Amino acid sequence: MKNTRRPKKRDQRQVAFTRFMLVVAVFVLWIGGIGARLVHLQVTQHAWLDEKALDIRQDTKQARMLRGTIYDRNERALAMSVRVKTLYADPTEIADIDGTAKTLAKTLKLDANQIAANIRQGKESNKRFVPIAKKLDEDVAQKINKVLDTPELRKADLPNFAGLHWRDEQKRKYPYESLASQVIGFSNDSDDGQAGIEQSQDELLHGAIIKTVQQRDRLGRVYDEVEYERERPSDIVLTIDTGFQYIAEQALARGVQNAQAKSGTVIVMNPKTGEILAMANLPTFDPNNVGQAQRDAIGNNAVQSSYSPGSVFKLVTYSSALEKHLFLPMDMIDAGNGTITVANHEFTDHHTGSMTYAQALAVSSNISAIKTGMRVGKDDFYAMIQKMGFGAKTGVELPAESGGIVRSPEKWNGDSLASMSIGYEINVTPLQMASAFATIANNGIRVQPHIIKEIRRSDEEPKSVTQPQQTQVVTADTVRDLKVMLRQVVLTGTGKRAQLNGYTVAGKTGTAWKVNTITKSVDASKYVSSFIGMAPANDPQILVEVVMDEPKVGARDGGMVSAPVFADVAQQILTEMKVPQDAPLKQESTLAQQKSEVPAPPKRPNEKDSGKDSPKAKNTAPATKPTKPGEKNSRENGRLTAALDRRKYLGSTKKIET
Amino acid sequence: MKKNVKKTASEPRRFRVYGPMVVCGLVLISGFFIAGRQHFSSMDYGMKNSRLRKQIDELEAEKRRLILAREMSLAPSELTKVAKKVGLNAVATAELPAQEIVAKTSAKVPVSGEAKPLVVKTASIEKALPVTTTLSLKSDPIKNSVKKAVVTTAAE
Repeated sequence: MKNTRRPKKRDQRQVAFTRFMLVVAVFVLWIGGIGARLVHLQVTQHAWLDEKALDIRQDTKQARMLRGTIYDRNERALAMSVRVKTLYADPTEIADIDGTAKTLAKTLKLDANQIAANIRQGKESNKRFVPIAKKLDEDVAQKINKVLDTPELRKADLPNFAGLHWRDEQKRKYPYESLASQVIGFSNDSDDGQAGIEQSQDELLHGAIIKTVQQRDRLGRVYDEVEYERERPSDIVLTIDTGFQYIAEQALARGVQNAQAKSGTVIVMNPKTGEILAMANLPTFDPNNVGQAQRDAIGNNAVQSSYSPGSVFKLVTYSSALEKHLFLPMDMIDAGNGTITVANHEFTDHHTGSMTYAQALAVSSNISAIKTGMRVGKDDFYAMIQKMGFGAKTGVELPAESGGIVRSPEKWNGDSLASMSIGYEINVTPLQMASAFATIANNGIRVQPHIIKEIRRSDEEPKSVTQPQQTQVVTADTVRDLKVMLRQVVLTGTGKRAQLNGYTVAGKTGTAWKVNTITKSVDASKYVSSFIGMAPANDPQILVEVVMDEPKVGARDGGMVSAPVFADVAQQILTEMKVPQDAPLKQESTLAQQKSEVPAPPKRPNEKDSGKDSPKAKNTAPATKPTKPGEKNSRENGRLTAALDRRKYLGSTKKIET
Repeated sequence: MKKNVKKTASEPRRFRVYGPMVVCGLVLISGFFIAGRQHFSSMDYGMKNSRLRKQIDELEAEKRRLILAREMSLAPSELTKVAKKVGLNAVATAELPAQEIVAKTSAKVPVSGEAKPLVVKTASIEKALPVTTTLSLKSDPIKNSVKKAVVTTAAE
């Protein structure tokens, strides 16, 4: 019997639905599985994965901004930082240490064993930075990149060599080498200023660390970069002129060599603005090689060391007396027999008899200065010392400035006023002394000396411009009389060697015995010889101070040692500045004759100047004879005397125009 | 016959359903395409930007190196060496012929009766400089020195 029963026909729609659901189920399971795995990864291994992803994709770089530049007043870069590179190894990325060391040794001409030992040591202590070659210039780095290039290696950064990387660093360069080195100073490897402007302005010059976050693709190419900028360092513009600085340094070097001095300092200032145009010190050093510098060459003696000024301090004595209207330049003073006793202390001098005050200053009579100081009195003399800025820091923008040593009147001895009248029992810095003379040059207005012209950011907008303090210290009448007196010093007195060709000069010599710190008494064998002058005398454009420490050869007084250096510096600078001449040009023979004259030997303040104690007294003739009252030493002196006589005759109180 | 009638009736309805779907699909695909293109384009710009930044840094560094080299070559000690090399001898100040400077130049002298700076300021802190020059980078120290030279020449 044939089974005629037809098989039950399946519902096609049912079949399709079932199959569809099967596919959906598989799909859901698949997606569900992936989802579950993702949840598992996100929840349990989130931190590890995130770190791994960032490590692959993101690169954080830190670099210090280049330290600010120090310029001179004419925009010449005195100190500048440049980018350099340090080649370092990451031991964790190096498999073949010996092979790497061998290649590096061959490329950099270093010891392969030493490199291998360093990398191995780094690997053991899990270090990722082992320096191989430090602070290489860009061109050297590029050469190394070429040599180390491995074509089969795919690496995001250079050099294309496994485990080696570059780190950006900076190097401070001083293109003018030792020029103004004590002013500029230097900074160390960590970009910290250690001396000079580098130290005093470190906060402004210091470059902040900038962080750069880079996003890289799988080939290591940077496709996104975010730089977290910080405040850019400032540039400092100094008042120093490199040309004048060079003139000052060269003249000082010649002067120090001629006198065989221990050290020397020259300051050139613009008395009207208080700007320091040059500040030279010897011995000096090259800030590019600080390691080779002598210890005593790094300090800036112009502001950091103080000394007994000697006769240059008579400026203060006579200023205070003129302020009190105690005398006029052509009034007479009697130096007696060259001896004066104050509080049982006998001061002696070889200038005797009567002379005018102008002559007393010209020949640097100690007795006259002491008598003048005694007339002024303690309080007024001390007030003038303070007004002139002694005993306090000048505020110049240089580090470790000394304020000098000035004792208050309560601590003075009976003979202190007499000693201070001739520049002893007081210590001043060369800059303080220059500032006092600049006050006279600037019609009695004391302008705070400064060495920074302006501070600005790299966007060229000036951040600050120095505005120096100005104080009226002495009256214009006092200044006029003082200038006449200081002019006589150069014309007829101890400062003849400071005369310039074509310019009038007013100034003062100073020769002081040094104090022996062990015996605490003056050392007869050691001097500090100085000269401070201004030119042109009637309208001074520059003020130059020369201080020589312990000159050893020839006559060692300020007129012989420092005045010629002044003349050398001032003549060149005034010509360079094209300052109009105010005196006739002299013949070379006249100049030579002037220079052959020998000034007086220095005087010891508290010992009789009998010729026994003064080392030069036996073999050195006095520079000039004390001029008799009314004697006309020069055309200018004659004119001045005549004018004073006329004034006396007329009974006028008005000061004389010269 | 009845079936055929039903089929023809569903044709426009099906078009009305699938038509917008296709359009939406195309819009979606276009959106993805544009977004992808922008993404890769931004990556490309990022890379170019990064390269340019690097180039700027390199040029800045090169500029600094050149300024430094110029300053080193202009240092007085270096000039003295070169002068000696070409046979020039140093002359003492006293040996120099006296140069007459008359008062008419006083107007150009920076330091005069008033408190004025010694050297005429040529740095680019001044907003408007009287010197015309083809160089345009205001902050460029090299340009400043060029300007200074121009000013000096003009004054002489």
